[in-house]
Order: sequence, then C-alpha cells, then structure tokens
Amino acid sequence: MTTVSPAAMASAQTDGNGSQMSERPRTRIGGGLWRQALYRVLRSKSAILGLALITAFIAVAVFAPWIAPFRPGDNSWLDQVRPGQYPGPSAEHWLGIDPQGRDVFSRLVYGTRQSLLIGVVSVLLGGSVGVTLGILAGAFGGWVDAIVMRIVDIMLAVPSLLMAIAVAAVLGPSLTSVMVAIAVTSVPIFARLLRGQMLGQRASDYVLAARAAGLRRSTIIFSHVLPNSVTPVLVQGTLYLSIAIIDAAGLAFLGLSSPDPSTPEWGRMLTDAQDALATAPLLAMAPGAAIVLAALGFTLLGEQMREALDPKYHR
Amino acid sequence: MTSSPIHRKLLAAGVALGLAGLAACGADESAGGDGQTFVFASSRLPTTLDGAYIYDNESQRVIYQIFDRLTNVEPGTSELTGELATDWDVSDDGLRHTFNLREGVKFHDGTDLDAEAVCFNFDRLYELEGQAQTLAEYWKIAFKGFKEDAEGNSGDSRYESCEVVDPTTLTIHINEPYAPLPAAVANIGFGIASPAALQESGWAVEASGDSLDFVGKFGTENPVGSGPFKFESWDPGKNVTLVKNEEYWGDPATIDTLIYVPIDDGQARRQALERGEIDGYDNVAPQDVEALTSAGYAMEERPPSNTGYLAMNRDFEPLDDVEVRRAVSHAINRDALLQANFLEGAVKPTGLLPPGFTGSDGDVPQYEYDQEKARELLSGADAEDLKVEITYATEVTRPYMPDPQGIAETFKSDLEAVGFEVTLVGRPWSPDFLGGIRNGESMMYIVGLLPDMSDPANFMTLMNAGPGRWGTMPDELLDQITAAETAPPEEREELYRALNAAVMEDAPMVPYVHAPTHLAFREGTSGFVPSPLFAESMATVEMSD
Repeated sequence: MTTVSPAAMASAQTDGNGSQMSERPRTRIGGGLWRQALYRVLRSKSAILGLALITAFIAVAVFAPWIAPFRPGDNSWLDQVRPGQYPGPSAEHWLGIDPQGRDVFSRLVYGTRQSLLIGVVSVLLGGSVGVTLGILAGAFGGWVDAIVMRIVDIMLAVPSLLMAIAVAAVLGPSLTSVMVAIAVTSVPIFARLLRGQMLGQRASDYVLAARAAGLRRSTIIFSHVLPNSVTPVLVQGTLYLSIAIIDAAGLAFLGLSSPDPSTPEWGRMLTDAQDALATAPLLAMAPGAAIVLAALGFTLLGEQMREALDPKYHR
Repeated sequence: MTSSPIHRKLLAAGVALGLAGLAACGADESAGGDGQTFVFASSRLPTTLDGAYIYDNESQRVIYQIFDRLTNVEPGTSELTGELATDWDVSDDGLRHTFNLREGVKFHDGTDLDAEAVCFNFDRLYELEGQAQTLAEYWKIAFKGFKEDAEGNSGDSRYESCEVVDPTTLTIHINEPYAPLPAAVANIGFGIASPAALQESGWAVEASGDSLDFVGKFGTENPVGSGPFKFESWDPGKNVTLVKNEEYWGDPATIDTLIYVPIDDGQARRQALERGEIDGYDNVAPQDVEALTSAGYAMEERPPSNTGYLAMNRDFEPLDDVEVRRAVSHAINRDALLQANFLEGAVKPTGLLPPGFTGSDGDVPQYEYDQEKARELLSGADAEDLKVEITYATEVTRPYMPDPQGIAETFKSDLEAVGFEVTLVGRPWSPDFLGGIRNGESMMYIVGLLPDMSDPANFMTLMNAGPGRWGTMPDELLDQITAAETAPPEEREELYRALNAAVMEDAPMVPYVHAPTHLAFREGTSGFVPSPLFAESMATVEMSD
C-alpha cells in the first residue's frame, strides 16, 4: 500500500515545527491557517480526488439502503448457483452473484458501513487515548514522560497487525474487539506525535514569554501549546483511517471480526472468495478494489492536508 | 529511535519466511518399501485402531483393512452377507443368534480365529468400564448397556452371554429381541481382534483433560486382526502404515504397502494428488469433481446414504411450537440449496431415512418450499419473537455439508425472508460443536448422519439420543422407536414406514440432503468399490504403473 509510515511522519512533523513560529504571522495575514490550508488543499488535484473518494465512500455508507438494489442477505438467486460456478456480472447484478446466491454489489455497498464505522470509531478511540497520553508526556515531562514513553516504546516494538490480531483474539471475534484492536495499535503513534509537537512548542519563545508573564502552567498548556501542536494529529488521524480500513479488512479476513459470517464486510467477502479465486475472481476483486479505493482516498487527502498545514511545505 | 512500522512488518515477514524455509528442509517424503505402495490421504489420522473406541470414518477406513467382522455388507451395497461367519440363525423367540464360522482363519500373529476368540471379543466389549463405555458407541447401538454401569450396578444391557458351541460355532444370547443384531455386528466396532494381542497390550483408556489417553497399547501399537492388511507402524501426526497380509483367507491384496497420511484441507488434498504425492483421497469437493475427472483422475462416487439436516431443539422457544418448526421446514428452499452446493447425485430427502433403507418408501408429510405458507404458520403460532440461533461447525467438511458456513448462511437468508431473526454461530467441530449439541446448548444446528449399518434403526435411534439434541421429545414417538427396534423382522418394514412419517409430522428437523461423496484416485487406479456404509476394502484396489 501507498500509506506513509506514521512514525516517519511523526518525525517529519517534529522536524518541521522549528520553522512554524516564523511563519505564523504570514498565515495570520492570509486569513488564518485553516482557511489558507483549505485553499491549498483545493488547489491540489490529488487532494480533490481523495476528497471525492471519501465523499463517495461516506455517501454510500449513509445511503446504503437506497443505493443497494437488494438487501445484503437476500439469496433469491441461489437457484442460479452451481458448485464452483457463480453467475458473473449482468444488468441486474452489476458484480455478479456470490456462492450463497446473493447480490455482490449490494453486499459491497452495505460493507462500506462496516468499514467506515470501524475506521472512524477506532481512530477516534485510539486518537483520544493517544492524545491523552501525549498531553501527559508533553505537558509534565520528567518521570511522567519517561513512563508514558516507555509504554509507547513497548507498544511500538510489537508489529501493529500482530498486536491487533492478539487483542482481537483475546477479546473474541466481534465488531467491538476489531475497533479496540485497531485503536490500540494507533495509540502509540498519536501519543508520540503529540508529545514531540508539544516538546517543540514548549521550547519556543512565545511559551517562554507566557511563562514570564506569569500565566499558569495549565493555561499555557491548554491555551497555547496544545492548539499549536494538534494539527499534525488531525492529519495523522486522516491518514490512519486508511490504515484502520485495511487492518479491519485484514482482521475480518482472518476471521476476527463479526462472529456472524453473513455480515456484509469487505474483509469477510475476501475470505469467502478465496475458494472461488480460480473460477470467479471478481468475487475477490470487488471487495479488494473497494478497500484500495477507500484507503487511497484517505491517504491522498491526508497527505495533502499535511502539506497544506505544515509551513515547511509552503511554496 | 525505533524503525518504522513498515520496516518492522518487513522484518517480521522475513523471519517468518526463514522459519518456513527451515521447516520445509526438515520435512521429508515418506519412503515406501519394495512392491506397490499406495498413499491415501484422509482429513486426519485415526484416533485409535481399536474399533471398540471409534465412531468416525477416518478411523474406520484404516481399521476396516486390519480386522474382519462376523458379518459384512456386499461390496457397494447395504445388503448383509457373511464374513467370518458363513451363515447364522436366529431362534424363534429372537433371543439366540447362532453364527457358524469360516474354518482355518488365522490372526496376523498366527493364532487361531475360532469361536473362543470371537466370544473373548464380545465379552471384552460387554465388560468395558468407565471412560471406555462412553467411547463404545457401536456396542451401545447393538447392545445398549454394559455389564456394570459407573456405580457398579447392572448396566441394563441387551447382551447376556456368548456361548462357544464348538470351535466354529457360537451363540450370542440377548435378553430382549433385537432384529438388527446381525447387521449391527457388521460394524467396525465388532472387528474380531486377536485375544493374545489384546491381553498382551491391554485396551484400557482414560480421560486426561479434554483428550483421551490410550493406556492399553492394543489400538495404538499392536492392533492384530485377520484382515487383508497387517499393521506395520504409526508415526503420530504423520502416517499409519499397513502391509499386505500374505496369509489372508480371502483374495490377498494387490497393494503391498498402504500408507495413510493426514491432509485436513480439501484444496491441499487435491493439490497433493495433482503433484503425485498421494495416490488417492476422500471427500473430493463438489466443485473439484468435474475438473479432476476431465484431467484423467479416476473418480468414484459413494451412493447417497447419509442425511444432512437442520436440527431444532424444542427446549428453546419458539421451537417448542410445532407450527414454528413446520414454518422453518417450509421456509427453506432445499432445491436451490442442493443445486448450489451438491452435484447431480444428491437427493432431496422425503424423510429422515435415505433411499434404499427399510421403511424409506412410505407416505411421509412433505414440507415444500413455500414462503407464504411459512408466514401463515408463523402468524398463527403463539410465538412472540422469532429469534433463533443456528450453530454450524467450523474446520470440517462432511459429505452432507461441503461448506458448513455457506449452508448456514443460506438457512439464515431463507429464514429471515419469512420473518425470523437469525444469528449464526460457528464452533469447531470437535469438541465444541459436537459437545454443544449433546449437552443441549445449541438451539438449531446443522449436522448429519452417516449410517453405521444397513438398518433403519440406525437413523431412528438418533431421535432417541437423549434430550440434548432435540429437547424433550413426545413419549409416544420414543415408544414407537423402541417398538420398531424390538419387533420381529417381518413387522419391521411397516413399523419403520409409520415411524418415518411420524417423525416428519413432528418436524424436529429439516432433512436437506442425501449427498453422494467422491473419492479421487491416480490415473489408472481401479478396483475400489465405494460403499454407502463405508465398508470399503483397499484389498481390491489395483494400480497401473
């Protein structure tokens, strides 16, 4: 996949913050960082493509019952299936029929809901825990920082998919455990990123000035340091959505998702298509393409957001 | 600073590949000796080679080659014939079965197979204790209980004694008429073993945790019978090797060495055959049959003698209501299910009994696919919520369920179309799935019955298998089952016809298939006779080099 390594990005962000101070006045003049960023994002073709993919993805998820021509569990076409032979695409069934006599396109559409739900919830969950840990480490420093960062190091030492599998296996196969599993793997990334940002900000002149002015530590942290550190986390969140969607499919593929196999889910559709790969490759290609496109959408947008929001990339 | 996750993933993959490579280097091909060697892949190796303790086809197929039984079925049919017994006779009161033995038969260890040896075998089974009793399913089918139950009380057995009349004649005494007895002792559980080997190695078995500990080594190291193949070696997890019995009383085998190897995955079995690593395998996936046949492999079809069914445990609401059970029966589109999952030889059941079994040809209530009718039955039923749970087995394929999950999904779709709310639960075949249905944990479950003997009692006894499977069955039906079992032979046909109808009237299950099964062999293999009862000898198999 074309996703950018989160840790590498974290370090890129940390390196970049040195120049942020000097750029601040300019972004202010331009009508605010966010407005400027939006303007820059909309000028990028790949960002537009990413945004379009995500919008389509969200629309399909929200309006699934109207978009899908049939219910995902409707097996009215079972009588057209023979062992090892499944009807291919037709006017009525755009992506053909699966071995259980169900419309593949409808299942794909409903599967979007699962993927989006897992992606968003797990990133929100992982992000909030990660941000909390990051604030603790970044704000307090010292032994709190040391403990939090050792925990983060331990978590980073385990390959993320392996960790997700372990967590999902311990919690048992369910939608919730998939969300928790993916969230857990994202915690260290968010924590490390935010901590780095905050440490950088803490050393900056405006913080020094605030401290000299006698502001309380909590005020400095929450009113000044945090708002100036959080942008990369938002970017990371967008990028991590693509990883979450891929990991969710991976876990479903390994049978660690919803315990009911009839739930329309991209990863599960891939698993079930395995045996028919030689005769009906479309059964695997359709969910595969959906996973790639969704992940691509978030990656493109995330990348462009990062560039747009990071003063280092200003041209 | 740690490396990036992508680097770590790559590293992990590299390590994994390296380990896989090492493992591959460690594996080696099993070497055959001189003469013709035939390698057969089954989904797993036997549990033990002591027929007394097994109740599964993978054990049966190996044990069958080593032991002979008093009676057997004609190859490829369910017609009863003599094997070690040349003929037999039943007394008028139905309590004495006298068998005349073939003369001059010897066990692999050179000892004589005479009436005394046969009676030793029957008495051994009758006197089984503790854990052994729970395993001895075939004995229980034929003789109910044992000499003593776990508390040391009388075990409520049908068996009385085995009397040696002369060296080639014996009489089995029972205390209630049981017409299927000659058919029942054709089972693999009644393979006649060498008393010398039994006494030398012992046959004790103990439960150790979830698994079994075969303390007596007869079944694992020293299984001595009189069959066409002799036990050679057993490498646990890898293979069981048998060699030709040169002194066999019948026609000796043409194969010299017979090796069984376990390959649990159907695709992997096919690939192993295509690579020439094995010479044959069982349970060819329906979608592979045509491809392998046209590629020149020898394909054998076992006649459909099994029944696959969706069981309903009536101790769970709303299945306590017979109207709901009938609605389930009407909701399932069995024609489409059969077409989609099975080959042409598959038969849509009219009742529990497969075609060809005594009593299967009667007039039985039919539940044709009719969604309207199902909805109607459900609206009349006093079932408030129609939430049901279907348990299916994972990590297994059976002739009647080549794809348990797929079939479960089909049932779910069919039932939801008429208003049920269905949850699917997958559980590993053994022990979770099988244990669950025995203990009454499963509300609805997909399973089937492969027959053990050529008698309808085999199927009907299933309905009397305790409350775990079905919930509390009506007493009249259970009485009817017992009556049919103990009735004189001439009345049985009519009784089983009535019983087959009575069972379907009560709708405890939806029988959805009698499925044929397929075995694939290397090109040029001949002589294998597929049997509806898995009574399949490898002695007749010939290979062309």
